Amino acid sequence: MSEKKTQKNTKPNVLGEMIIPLFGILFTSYYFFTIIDSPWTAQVNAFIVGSILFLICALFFIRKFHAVRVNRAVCMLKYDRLLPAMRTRQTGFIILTIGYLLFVELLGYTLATIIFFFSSMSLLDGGQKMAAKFTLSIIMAGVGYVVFILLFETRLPEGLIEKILQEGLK
Amino acid sequence: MTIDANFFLELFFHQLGLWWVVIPSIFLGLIVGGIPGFSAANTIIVLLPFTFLMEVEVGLVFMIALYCSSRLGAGIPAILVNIPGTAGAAATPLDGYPMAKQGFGQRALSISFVSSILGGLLTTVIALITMPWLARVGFYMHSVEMVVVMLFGISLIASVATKDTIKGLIAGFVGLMIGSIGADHVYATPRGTMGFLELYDGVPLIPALVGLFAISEAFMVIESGSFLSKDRVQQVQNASWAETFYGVKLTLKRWFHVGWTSLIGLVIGVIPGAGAAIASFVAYQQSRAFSKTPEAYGKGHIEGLIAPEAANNGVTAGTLIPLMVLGIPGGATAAIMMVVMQYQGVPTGPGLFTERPDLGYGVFMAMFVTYLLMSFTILPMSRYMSRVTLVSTVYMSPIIIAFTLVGSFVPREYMFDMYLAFGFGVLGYIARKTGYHVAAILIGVILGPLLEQYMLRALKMSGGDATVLFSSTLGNFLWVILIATLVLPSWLNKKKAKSEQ
Repeated sequence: MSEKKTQKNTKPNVLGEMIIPLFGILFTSYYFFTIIDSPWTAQVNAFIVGSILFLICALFFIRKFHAVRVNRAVCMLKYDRLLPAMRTRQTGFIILTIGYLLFVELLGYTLATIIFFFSSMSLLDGGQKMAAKFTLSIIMAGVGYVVFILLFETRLPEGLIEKILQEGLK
Repeated sequence: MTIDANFFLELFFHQLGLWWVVIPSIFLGLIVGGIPGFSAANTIIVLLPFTFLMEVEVGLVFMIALYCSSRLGAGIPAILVNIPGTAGAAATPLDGYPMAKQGFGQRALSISFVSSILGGLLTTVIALITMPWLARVGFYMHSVEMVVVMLFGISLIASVATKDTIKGLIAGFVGLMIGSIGADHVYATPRGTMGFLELYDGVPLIPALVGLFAISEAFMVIESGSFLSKDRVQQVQNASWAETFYGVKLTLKRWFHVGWTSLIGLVIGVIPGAGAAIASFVAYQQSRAFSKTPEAYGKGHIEGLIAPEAANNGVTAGTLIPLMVLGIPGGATAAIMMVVMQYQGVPTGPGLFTERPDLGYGVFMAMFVTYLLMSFTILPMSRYMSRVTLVSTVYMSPIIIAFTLVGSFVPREYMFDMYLAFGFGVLGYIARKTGYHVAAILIGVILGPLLEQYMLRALKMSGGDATVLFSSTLGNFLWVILIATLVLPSWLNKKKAKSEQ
């Protein structure tokens, strides 16, 4: 009985593998929708590439469906594993990255980068050596400011720190 | 002025005398080449006022040194942390990064540097000798021939996915569909843009590159806490200079491989608009097709690293040939050089070699000197650069994310490109977690729009007749080579296996 259970657990779950082909099918369908009334020059490439993609995805699904049918693979969403898998430092880091993207315009490049560096480094190693991390965050964001804004004159979002530094440099 | 051996010798020593311009430009080029989004072209644009102030000769040497070293610099993060600095280095991590992960980062860097330098030196010499003939390649490569050249690169999709071909093809074709986003080339009809004006010009390459490679890699390495496993950390810490010399030896042993892959780069570089990305993908595909051990590619194969690096450095000499000989710039950097030359009243095209042969030939000699000086300045750095892989991912992941997101912002300065890079990062992360090759997606995104552009041009000229693709002699010759390189290796392998049985 326990052997059977272990066997069941080691079978590959093909659900994750379906994401990219499903994304491909959905995107291609949407793409076809946008060119349906367009001239042939806008359609020819997409219809060739998209049709081949549909064909390959169909073959892929048939193969996976067959593997599930003959009991060589499983296709299921494991709710009991989903929540613990999401409660990781990785998820926290992804959320911090989204936060950085949302707030960089509001706070300006330098301040947002200092906060992002400090919070993500603290999150990733469990909040050790906070002072060293804070100093490193300021240094790295400073390097970014000098290289990207001062040297290469990139028009990154400006905030309080950039305005103070610009006044100071004047 | 007589153009003889003495003239070239004098020119060589004259350019060598400008080492004080070349060496700082090499280091600047390494930095801008290594940061995604920055390139020799946009750095020269930023520094354009300075080049106007310099003497024309010094200005050209500065631009050439920056151009060559940025090509080489783009391969460094590609090998160490799986982040190609430019699209031209997109094929480098296929074998470079697995080598670094095995603890051979120093060796991989040394192989990359030597193949880049040798490739650059060889193609510069060949360019100097064959300039008048090579410049004509562009005239023979029409849209039909370019379709076949693109297919050479695209066929690499099947090669990178040796583990699971069907998944590789799905990833490649998803990439090709994403690459089709944007206004169509004839009537400017928006296609698949989801209403975003920022996508009307197509999917920008740098956010795709940054997202698929850098951001997804940053998310991935958090799981392990380090780029290397514990025993590999020890290996990197204990690595001595011998590792660098061993890399040099391994590359020199494969001098023929460096030679022919850099020639692919030179020929593709001559074709206006083709560029380093196509050259490196085609060289990688050809290298794998004719290899005795194709199954080792993608796992840290030496020749898999040599091919793209030699090819993308071969492109540098190639892109300058049409500019110097015909007055037609072969790429963005060449176009900026033309602006500087015109500002200084220097003619481009055939007149350059009669009026100012010291400048015409001097450009290529400057390239030769740059590659020569790079062997002394950059090669010893491989030992210290490889230590990057020892830095904890606690520090590296946030740095990769923040700096590469800026890199994706730089080319167009749209916040949208940062969001797009993140979107590609999530796509790349899902792809990696579920066993799809991100390089296959990227090949599709890079080469898809180019293939469409050339195919449409050919079809438009023939009034929609698809047989036009088989209407030219050179095109048909390329078709035969393409089919041969796809079919012959597996046929020969099967034959060999049979005879061994």
